[in-house]
Amino acid sequence: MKMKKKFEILLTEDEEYALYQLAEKLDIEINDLISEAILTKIRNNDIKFKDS
Amino acid sequence: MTKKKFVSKEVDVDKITTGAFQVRDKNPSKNIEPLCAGIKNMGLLQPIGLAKSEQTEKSDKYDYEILWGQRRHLAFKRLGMKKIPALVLDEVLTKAQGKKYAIQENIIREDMSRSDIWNTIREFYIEFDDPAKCADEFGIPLPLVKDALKANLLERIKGGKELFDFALSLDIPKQTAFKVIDIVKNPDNVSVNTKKGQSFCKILSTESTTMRNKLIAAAKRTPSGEPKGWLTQAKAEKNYKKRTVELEESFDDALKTLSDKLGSSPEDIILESVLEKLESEELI
Repeated sequence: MKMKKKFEILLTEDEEYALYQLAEKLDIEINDLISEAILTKIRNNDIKFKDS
Repeated sequence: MTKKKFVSKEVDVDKITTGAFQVRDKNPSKNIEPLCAGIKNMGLLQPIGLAKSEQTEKSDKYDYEILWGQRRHLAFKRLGMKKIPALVLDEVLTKAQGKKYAIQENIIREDMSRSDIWNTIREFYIEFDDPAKCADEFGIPLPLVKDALKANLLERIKGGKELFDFALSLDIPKQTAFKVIDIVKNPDNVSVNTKKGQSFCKILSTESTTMRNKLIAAAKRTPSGEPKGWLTQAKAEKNYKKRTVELEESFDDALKTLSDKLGSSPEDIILESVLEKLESEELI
């Protein structure tokens, strides 16, 4: 099993709801949606990402 | 308490029992893996304490009862090690006598371990600014690392003590003062932005406890912002909800590189990523 690391962020209720809506629309888990968003930001900044 | 003579020796792991003298209520096997890893890598740095008890006197199986070091003994068992270094008192102690030793040793160890832990992890922590990484690297349980970091916060951050005193002079509670220092740390991770910290303290000092909490939340959310901006955000709302994000380790290096590049914390980057995604979908 791959090790996971936990981070905590603070979202407003509106942002949390928007996140929930988008996850529903894309039919994925919220955590996966956030991972994808981070990956996009990493790639947009031309940083290498080593996927194991 | 009368001084008793402890003798250092190696004792068969299977001849040791536990229970009568223990003072900790917590589950001893919790977070035992990092301890096992540490012992495997470096051996046992501190011997456990043993004495005879009424139970061991009646038992054919056990010779000694643990005074301190229950978790270390458990780790040795898990690792399949046969003998463990111990300080042994060859006397039968009552339950009350045994507990006195156990409490004393735990108190001493607690005080010492904070500075010892900080001295151990200092350079690594300054480089990575990540308590969990320190815990993994040195095999020290994460709660102990966090405790040591808090205890040494003022010593390790340049300008931290001055800002802390400034906050207290404005009647800001200690816990809040610690949070302010953490928020206004410079990207170098070893100094504070004094001007920003003092400005934040002045704002905090005029607000109610509820508004202070909102201000701290707003500041934590965007630590690269300014105190006036945090005040605007706090007044505009906002009941923040905590969300835990779990990322695979494969994100570690890229997140760190991006943190360095942007001068933000990993949490800031995660938040920005989320908000950018929501904005691109026109949901906020």
